[in-house]
Amino acid sequence: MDKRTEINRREFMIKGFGFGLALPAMVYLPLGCRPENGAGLRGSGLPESTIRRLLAKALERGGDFAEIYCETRQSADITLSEDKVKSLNFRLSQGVGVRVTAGEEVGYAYSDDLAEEQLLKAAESAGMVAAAGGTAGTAGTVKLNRHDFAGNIKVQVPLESIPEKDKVRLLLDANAAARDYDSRITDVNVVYSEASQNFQVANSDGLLVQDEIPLFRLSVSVTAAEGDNRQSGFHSFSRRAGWEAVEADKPRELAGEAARQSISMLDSKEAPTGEMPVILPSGWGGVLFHEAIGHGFEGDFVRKETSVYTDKLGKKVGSPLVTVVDDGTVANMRGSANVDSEGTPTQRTVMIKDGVCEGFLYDLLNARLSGGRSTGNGRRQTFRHIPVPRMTNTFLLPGQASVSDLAHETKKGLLVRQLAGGSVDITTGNFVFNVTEAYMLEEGEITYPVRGASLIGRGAEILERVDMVADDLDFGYGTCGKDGQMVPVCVGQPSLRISRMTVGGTQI
Amino acid sequence: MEDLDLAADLVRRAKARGADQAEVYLTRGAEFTVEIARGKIQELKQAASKGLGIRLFRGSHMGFVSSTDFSTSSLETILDHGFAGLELSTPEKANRLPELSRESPPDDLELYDPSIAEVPTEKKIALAREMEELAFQYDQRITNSHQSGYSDVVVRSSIVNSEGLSVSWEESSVGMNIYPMAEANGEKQMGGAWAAARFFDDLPPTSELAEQAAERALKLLGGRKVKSGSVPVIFDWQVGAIILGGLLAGINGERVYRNQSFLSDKLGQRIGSETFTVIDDGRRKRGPGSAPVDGEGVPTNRKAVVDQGVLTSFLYNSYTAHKAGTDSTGNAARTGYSSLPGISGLTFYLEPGTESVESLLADVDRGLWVWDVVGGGPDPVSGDFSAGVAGIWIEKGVPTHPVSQVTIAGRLTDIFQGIDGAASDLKLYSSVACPSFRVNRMTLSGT
Repeated sequence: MDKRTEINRREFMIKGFGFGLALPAMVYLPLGCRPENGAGLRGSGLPESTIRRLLAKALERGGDFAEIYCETRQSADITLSEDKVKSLNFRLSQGVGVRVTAGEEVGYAYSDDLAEEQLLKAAESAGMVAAAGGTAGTAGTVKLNRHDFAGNIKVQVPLESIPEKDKVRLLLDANAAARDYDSRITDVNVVYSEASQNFQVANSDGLLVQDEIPLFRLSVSVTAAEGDNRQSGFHSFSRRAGWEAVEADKPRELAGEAARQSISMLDSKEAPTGEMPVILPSGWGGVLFHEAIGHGFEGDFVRKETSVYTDKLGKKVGSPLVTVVDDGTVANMRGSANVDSEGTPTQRTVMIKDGVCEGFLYDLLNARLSGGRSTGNGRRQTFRHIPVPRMTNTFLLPGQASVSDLAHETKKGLLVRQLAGGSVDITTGNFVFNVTEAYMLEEGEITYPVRGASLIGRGAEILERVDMVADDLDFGYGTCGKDGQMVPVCVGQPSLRISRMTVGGTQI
Repeated sequence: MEDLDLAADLVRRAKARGADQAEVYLTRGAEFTVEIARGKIQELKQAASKGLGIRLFRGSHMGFVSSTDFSTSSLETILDHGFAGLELSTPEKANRLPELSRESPPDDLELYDPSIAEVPTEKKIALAREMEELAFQYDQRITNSHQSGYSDVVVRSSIVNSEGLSVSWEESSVGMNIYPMAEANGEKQMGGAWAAARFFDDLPPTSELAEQAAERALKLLGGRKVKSGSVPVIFDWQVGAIILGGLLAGINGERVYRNQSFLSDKLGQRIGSETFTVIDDGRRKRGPGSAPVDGEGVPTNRKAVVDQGVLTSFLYNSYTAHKAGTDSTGNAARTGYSSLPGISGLTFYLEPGTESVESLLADVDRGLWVWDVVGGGPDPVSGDFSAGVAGIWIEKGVPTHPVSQVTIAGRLTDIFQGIDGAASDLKLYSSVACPSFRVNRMTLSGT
């Protein structure tokens, strides 16, 4: 996962598929929309009678589960660079996805044409998978029950009620603040994006859920230059909330932090190589646990036995200082939802408690096949994608140490302040992260900034080697890629120390 | 043609509502995917989809909107938003459409295989199944499979603008991939292989991919760290594109004119060794990135971007070319109907040599043969490169043991300069492709 670009290893490999072709199905940003009363759009979802006919058609050949997902998204983004508001983009998208499962086999089809005839065709295509077997469906008579859910996402001032010029003001403020920070800031990019997503899920078990959730994000990236030396900085803020969550000084705060990173790295020296203690920062630093450990807890990898954690339930997998949770219920957080993309209410799942593996993250299919319950982690990018187990807001709980202790008690090591992104090989647990801001520590004191470092290791080893955890839990906002699907997530952790980790630099 | 008519009508409506210029980019396509794991269908997906994006220009302001719904009311809604947004954008002289080219687009690039639609679904599923079975049969240490997949895509793109452009073309892409898992002595290792082509019949046999993936998983099993040092590195053809990606980002016209690239001031200068020749060929027949015109209708071409180590061209779309005071190089790229034209290479590849990989290895006393990149990559701003890799350790020209959990790093210009051999094994499976090649020295971090 990366906080700014969104390519991971699997994406990179799968680029071989569809290569130069731009699939019409490709959506630029995983954003949502608000329901639109325009005649062509179905903000209110499909009528129940249509849903019943689609479910019946989907299960005509057999199969044991069918699901209809109807979605309308309206999204907008504004970009600023070179001191100019480059463009304000607006997007509408809508469609219906139909899924049929037969045993562990999954058939999927979607249509962006909402005429019932086209939807029936999609239902028939999805049902093809049932040729292999399964029990004949009885969905024609299924009774749909509307479900209510908790209000994790509450909106006071809808984003779409705010005039565009107020949003443009955010970008102008951030740009000015970054330029004011230091004359060596040569380039500033600011992006504001917002979306409203209205979705309806119904399935052959009789579930019927409809929800509408917003998402916004403001991000600032800067470049500082001195001669040939160019360094970048980045910071962002995101919430599933209305305009009330956009604080007036947010643009200045984000710009200041991005600028600080780039300026402080102008004086950096080459990073060292070899094993040493590493202090990871609170907030976005949690991306390391998201990648190196979190993905291995996702129910599909666990069920298919491709995860290193497959048979670890109840076993010690890390230092007793480590407790990790995935919590989709945190109020208005970027990774939160009221219900997941399958209509299951989100929840707080303890993944690791005091170093012991406690639970995995499930969607409906993998939960059923593993004999458990969905944990509300069935997520999808859009109606064009099948739901798969994904993290929501994943974070490591705070410990007792103070942040200053971490450095003071480190003789020689690396203090990391910012990570870019990274990725993991699920099978081996091997991961790599690029460091964007880091400092050498000697005798407990910061000596000089270092550039170009990467961190490499194996998730299981790193979990064992967490030897100090501070009390300063914070969060970071990113977009996570898996199976070609991008979803908004939040990561978090307090500052912590890994007793030994391989740092890959350029200085031998 | 229905799509061209719809697009032309929309351009007229935009003009009627006050646009100085307008452009409609419309795509319509069908996709099919099957993924098998352990003999079971994990996903069987088929769908048709469509979408259009409209660029509006008025008084040097620009606006962009898109929709999947082509109903009159939705199109009016997005036009409303487009004109409202346009007002708030900063006017720039560069905000204008490219001039209409006199050249008529070629129709002999062989980008579309009509036979894909006639291949029965059962046969596509059978291919993925067979490939997985072959991987399992290859060795008893292949104990699991993450995925064996087949997928195809057919897309028709149409572009109509107010300057008289009206163009439409069809493309197809078909691909297969396989990720088997090997297990021995309590260790697990995934291997992978994939291939893609414009034409169904150009795909390699399933046995080739199954063997390649199984072989990789088996040979990487039990990898260990090696000592840090400065050593020669051989990039396998499947992974070397990560280095070319650094070049591609560095010659991106937007980065260049904004001084955001390590190559901004290097045009006409030597940036690599004599072996380093990189071609961007939009007209290569059946090329994965080939197209008659680019994402805003400018004719594509063939050019060397690096010629025997000398940087000869940057890549521009019309906006960045206007900003830089030059002409579009026909490299405007749309990642979909809902995005503005960006910049990318077309069929972009490192010119192959005549040697075999074995002969690249033969001269290496102690070095790393990289098979897999776990994470990291190039930073086009600073020009630094670092990545986590796995591969095979080479000792006195001979592969010895697997290596994992190490990183390699260096400055991109040093890497380009250090390329001292390219093999003949170029496969155009991806729009950015390269043969195996050797870099004389990179920093390796292990223990």
